[in-house]
Amino acid sequence: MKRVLSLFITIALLAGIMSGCGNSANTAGDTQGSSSAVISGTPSEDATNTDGLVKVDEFIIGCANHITGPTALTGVLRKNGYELGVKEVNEAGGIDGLPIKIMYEDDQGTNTGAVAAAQKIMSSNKAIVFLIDRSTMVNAVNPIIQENEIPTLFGATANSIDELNNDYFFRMRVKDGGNAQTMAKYLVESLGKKKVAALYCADTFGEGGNTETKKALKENYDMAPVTEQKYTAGTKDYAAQLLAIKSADADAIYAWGTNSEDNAIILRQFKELGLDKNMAFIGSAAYASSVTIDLAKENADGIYSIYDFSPDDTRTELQNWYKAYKAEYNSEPDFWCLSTYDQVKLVADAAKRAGLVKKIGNDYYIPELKEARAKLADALRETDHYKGAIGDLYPDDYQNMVHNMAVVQIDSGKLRLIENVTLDQ
Amino acid sequence: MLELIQLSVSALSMGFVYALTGSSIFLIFNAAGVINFAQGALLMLGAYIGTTTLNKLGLPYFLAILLMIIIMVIIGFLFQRLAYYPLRNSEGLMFMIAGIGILVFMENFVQLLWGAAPISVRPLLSVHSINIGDLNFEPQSVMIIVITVAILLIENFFLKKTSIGKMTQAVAQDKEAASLMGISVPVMIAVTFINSTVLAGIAGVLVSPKFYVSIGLTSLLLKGMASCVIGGFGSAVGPIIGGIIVGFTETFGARYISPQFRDAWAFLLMIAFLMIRPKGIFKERISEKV
Repeated sequence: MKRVLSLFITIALLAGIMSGCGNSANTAGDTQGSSSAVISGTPSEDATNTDGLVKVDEFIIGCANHITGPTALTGVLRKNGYELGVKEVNEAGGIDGLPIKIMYEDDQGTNTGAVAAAQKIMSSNKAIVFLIDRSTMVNAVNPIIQENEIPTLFGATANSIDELNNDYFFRMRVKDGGNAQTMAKYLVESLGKKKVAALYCADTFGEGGNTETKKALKENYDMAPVTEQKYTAGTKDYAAQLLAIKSADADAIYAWGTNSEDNAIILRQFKELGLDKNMAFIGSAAYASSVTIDLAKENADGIYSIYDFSPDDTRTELQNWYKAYKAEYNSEPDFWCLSTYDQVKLVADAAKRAGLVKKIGNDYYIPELKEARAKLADALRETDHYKGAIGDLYPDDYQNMVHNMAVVQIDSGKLRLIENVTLDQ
Repeated sequence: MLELIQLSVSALSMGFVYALTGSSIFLIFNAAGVINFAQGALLMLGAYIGTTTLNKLGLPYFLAILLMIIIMVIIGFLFQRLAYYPLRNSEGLMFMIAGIGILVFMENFVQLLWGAAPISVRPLLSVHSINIGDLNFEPQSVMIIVITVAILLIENFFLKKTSIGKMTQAVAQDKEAASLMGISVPVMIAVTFINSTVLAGIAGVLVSPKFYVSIGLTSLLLKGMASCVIGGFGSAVGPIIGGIIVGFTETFGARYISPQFRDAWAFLLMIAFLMIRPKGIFKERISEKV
């Protein structure tokens, strides 16, 4: 009996020791497995610090950006916006004292690259929020975002993203439907055009934009384009399409395209083939981007665009961003830089509202990754008229946060504000 | 009618660009029996060098082009020496693979030197548009036609009337016989590579004001190849006629059939030629290969 009791006590003691070691190992393993950046060093020995919290050095934001590939230039502009946001947040004390940092992965400007970049970021278990762009890439990473339940902010504008019904998606630019409505309204009501022609890129963006504009023209004005001309991105010559539009006797062109080279060639040929004498031209945002204007030069003058902002807009937040960008980078900012800047600022604001960061002693702690992401997502959903540089941010039913844009006209290479438009909610 | 004329001018200008590119491919194929997949990269590099000589150095237009040509001569020699010469006795596939590697390298190299942003280039003609009655023409399209005709005439003179040109043709026809005649085959192949590189560079500079300068220019290689396939490798005129056919096919195909498949029309025609008349319009003379 004594032997049995001794054996039992020994086994119990051993079990207790093993479970204690196992817990410690699991805790350490989890933290190391989760992130060596999220958790620096070992967990605190203070009981309150390990109560669902992990020690961190930085608030990590994951980002799939175009570092290489054909869209590398866009990647530079986006990063400028991101980093300006990071700089301002950290100079203002970070998130309750904790500095933020963006962890970039290269998406190479392709869907495959975007998926790989997203997977790499998720597997690092460091990022509390994820940033990405381009409608086709957002579609591509949708399953990864759903699986990891990570709040994701993006500037992609395709209407179809709403149909994914992803609770973790937060759109930070006006979607194509809204831009198309504004485009149609301006063409018909302000410019008085009656025979509009469509010119668009045969990709998700262009096809979607054309579909939405046609819908807006039909529903509101019972009009249809007199001709629809599309092209593949990278086409070097658009004479065929433009002469077809001329032949259709159109009095205006609405155009959807994101590639600055294509847009600049189109604008140049539009003028050189004499179409500008009798036709107005209104393009999607990329037509008024700094890259397009730099390439097209005087050929961009007189063109209208539905754009994210105008430097003429006197709103304090926009002017502060505009001046800060020019001071930081000594160049004219673009719509790419505006959305990305506000994405970072909004994340910081939401993280503060969620109370994610706790300072204990000299160390900073945030909840475990899953909980941190969930709290941040909730805070983003509860955003109540955050004053961003891009405008007044609040979520609609699909968590689209931006509800205003500008109609601009290019004049001597500058964007002249025609009118600010706020979408009906 | 007016539209037909405008379309034809546009088609002809594109056709001549493809003709220049195709001619540069033809020269190397004829001399060395290999397809140079780096030809698009050389065209792109010529365009980038042109942006520096024209925009940055601010030289008068023709002086800037001359400087670009001199630089391309050096690049052509180095390219032949470093890429072709070590592989000259290997299978043609080896050089083709090397060409692809050089193409990828160049696309990243130029972005490192000149940046990722596309670059606009000062055109020769600063007029906004060439107007003749109700017709409006793109100035650079007209310039491409005029300059390409001049270049091709000069090229023809070089090949047919100069001793070096005749020697390169002799090497292209029969290396062994040329060697026996005392012609240095390696030197003539080097001259051919230089000639081809300069042609590619000129093509790059010609299209720069029209297409802007970016890595996207390398795609002209495919149209150049289509020009060679359609025109045939039997004569220097082949790529020229082939290029014009490609230009008209894609322009009129885009206008009257489907604008979205503009590029497809030319390649469909190329496939049709490969199936029906693989040697092209100006086929190689069989007797030379016996």
